[in-house]
Amino acid sequence: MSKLLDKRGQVATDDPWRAAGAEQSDAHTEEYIFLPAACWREHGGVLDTDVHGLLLTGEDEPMALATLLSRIKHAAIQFPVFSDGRGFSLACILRGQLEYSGTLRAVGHIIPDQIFSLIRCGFDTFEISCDTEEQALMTFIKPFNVTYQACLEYPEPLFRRRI
Amino acid sequence: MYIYDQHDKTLLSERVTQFRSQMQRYLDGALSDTEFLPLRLQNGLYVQRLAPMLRINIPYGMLSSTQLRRLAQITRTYDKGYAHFTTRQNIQLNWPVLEEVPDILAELAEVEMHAIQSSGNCIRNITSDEMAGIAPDEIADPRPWCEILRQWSTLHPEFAFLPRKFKIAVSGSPADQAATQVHDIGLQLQKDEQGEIGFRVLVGGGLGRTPMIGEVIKEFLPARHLLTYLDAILRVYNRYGRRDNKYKARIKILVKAWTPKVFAERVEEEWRHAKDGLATLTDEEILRAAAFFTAPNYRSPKDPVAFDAMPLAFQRWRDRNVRAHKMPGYCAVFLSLKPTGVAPGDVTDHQLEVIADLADEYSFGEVRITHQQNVVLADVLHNDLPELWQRARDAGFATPNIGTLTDMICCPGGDFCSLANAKSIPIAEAVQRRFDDMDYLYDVGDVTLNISGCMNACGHHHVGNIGILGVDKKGEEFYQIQLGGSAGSDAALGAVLGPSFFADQVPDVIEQILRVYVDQRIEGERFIDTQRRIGIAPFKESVYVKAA
Ligand code: SF4
Repeated sequence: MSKLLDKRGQVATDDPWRAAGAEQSDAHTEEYIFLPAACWREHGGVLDTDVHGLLLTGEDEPMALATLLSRIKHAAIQFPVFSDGRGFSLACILRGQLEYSGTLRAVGHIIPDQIFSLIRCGFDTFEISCDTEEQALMTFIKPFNVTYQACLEYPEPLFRRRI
Repeated sequence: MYIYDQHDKTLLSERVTQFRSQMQRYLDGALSDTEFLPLRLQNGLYVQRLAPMLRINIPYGMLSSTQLRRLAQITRTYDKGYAHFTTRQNIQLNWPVLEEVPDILAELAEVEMHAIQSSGNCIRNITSDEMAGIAPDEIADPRPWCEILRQWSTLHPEFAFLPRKFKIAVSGSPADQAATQVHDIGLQLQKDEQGEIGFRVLVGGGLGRTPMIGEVIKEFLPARHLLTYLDAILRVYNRYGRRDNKYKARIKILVKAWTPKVFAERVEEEWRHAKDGLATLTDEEILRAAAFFTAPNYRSPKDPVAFDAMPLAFQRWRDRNVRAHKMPGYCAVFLSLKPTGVAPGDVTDHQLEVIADLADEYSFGEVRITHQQNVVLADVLHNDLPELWQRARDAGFATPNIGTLTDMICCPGGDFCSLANAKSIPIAEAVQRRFDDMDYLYDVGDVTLNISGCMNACGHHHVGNIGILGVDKKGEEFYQIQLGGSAGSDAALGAVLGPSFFADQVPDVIEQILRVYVDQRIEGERFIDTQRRIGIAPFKESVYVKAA
């Protein structure tokens, strides 16, 4: 059974957001829906004001969604399988290049061991499809106190922070 | 050598803790095989034909005597008392027990070693030139850059799940001992007209099923931009590299599909956003890294001893196994791990300790591992050579065959590897037995022989002057021979000689090939030069006429 976890390790039980399937063409009318970017494209972008949340996949070009992303407050990125790492780069582009500042959720297949990297790339909530105890999930939030690269938490890489 | 500070140490110990818990969850059944797979691979742990295999990184090939002694102890305690140096300057344990791997990693961490990203679809160990810092023709020492890249790539949050493995090599001299042209990214240190340090950047080289020579996508990248530019390459690859077919997932396939020019443009576009940002290297960081790789305390050389009175065996050894050094009075000594009858690259626990002793006594306590699977004592006093030769002989390291036919590269093959089509170690041994006449080997001179047990090409057969590839035909093992490959600055892929051979024919075929060379060479010409001059036809004729 899947759980929704935030980056403090809290499990959310009453979160209304969910991702729409690509075939759900009227999904945009619902308020708490992550609308697939492909679906938005098919409608020629006219739905802008209706869209509350956006769902991106590895195929999407975030640059083409820049205007929309600058307006919405909720986005999610789909991981078809946990070993498909495109979502990490997408998140970095959203946060870094597009300066997207809304919420960002990882949905689909991810494993707890990825949470730390997901946080570092800019995600703040995660759908975890495993039955790990809530208590144990905490250990995945911050397995490392040292990281070499720049990331959301430390915009400077370690070499600029080393003492 | 790089020395860990508290940051590096903390990260490494936290990594051991993390892996220990991943292993525990796997053993408890909380992690499935498919979920554990990339996690264990990112720590160098394979499950092989006979037992697990653990690949331990040797960053850019450098080891201290302390690390060598720890490795010796680990092979004794956790394995069968030997280990194997690989063609990417790493070391492998062939018989560890799964449950004990976290303990091995903890022991390694105590001597600042690890197995992070030594396998898996991520950025692998950064490799370099075994003559780094000492080659007379060096433009700049590649090791500080390798260490900067090691840190940048270690647990990079964005690039742990790439389409496929990713290998980077850095070379500091024009001879390109690091084989940069057959890596996913090859970095060649350059100086521009103002004397500024930078890199020529190649992408898309690699061996395996679709061997390719890398293409230059940037002629001169000023060094401070190294990390932002590599981030851009990796990001483009991570997003667009193929994930539907693992045989088409390496970056070379993407570069070829897009063309190098388009690939370079996409990288440039991506780079624009990060260029001059906070990941741009600072002068302080570059100096900090360089400070770990300064010259040791060289003694001012005494008058060089003339070795005229030494026996012929010594002269041969000195000719083949000793290289020039940029420091007068010093030289680099190659310890051969290719005596006849030992799998290339294999060392026992005792030998590891002897290497540590030799390093302490003759070479400032450090060694380098070469991608040809030998060991280099990099800073040896010229006048110590006779004594060192004796010591190396006693330990079995003085076979004077460096760069000759029997100094071959050979993958583990069918004896150990579950992917193999054919055995490779027995072929290496048969060739070594056939060519154990040192006079003949010495006369034939420089020639590289590389053997792979399947088309994954871990033995780099495409870039051997002579390459041998194990193939499987209806369950029987055959060997295809290739000629004309090279891994150096004149990198080239070999061409197939013709139909493949049975295992027991291979030594005859090699002999025939060498005969053609000896007959046709012009004074002073190396095997590869003769082969390039006369083409493959004379070899083909001679080999297949004789076989018929
Ligand atoms: S070349 Fe093939 S047989 Fe040899 S080690 Fe690699 S995968 Fe195994």
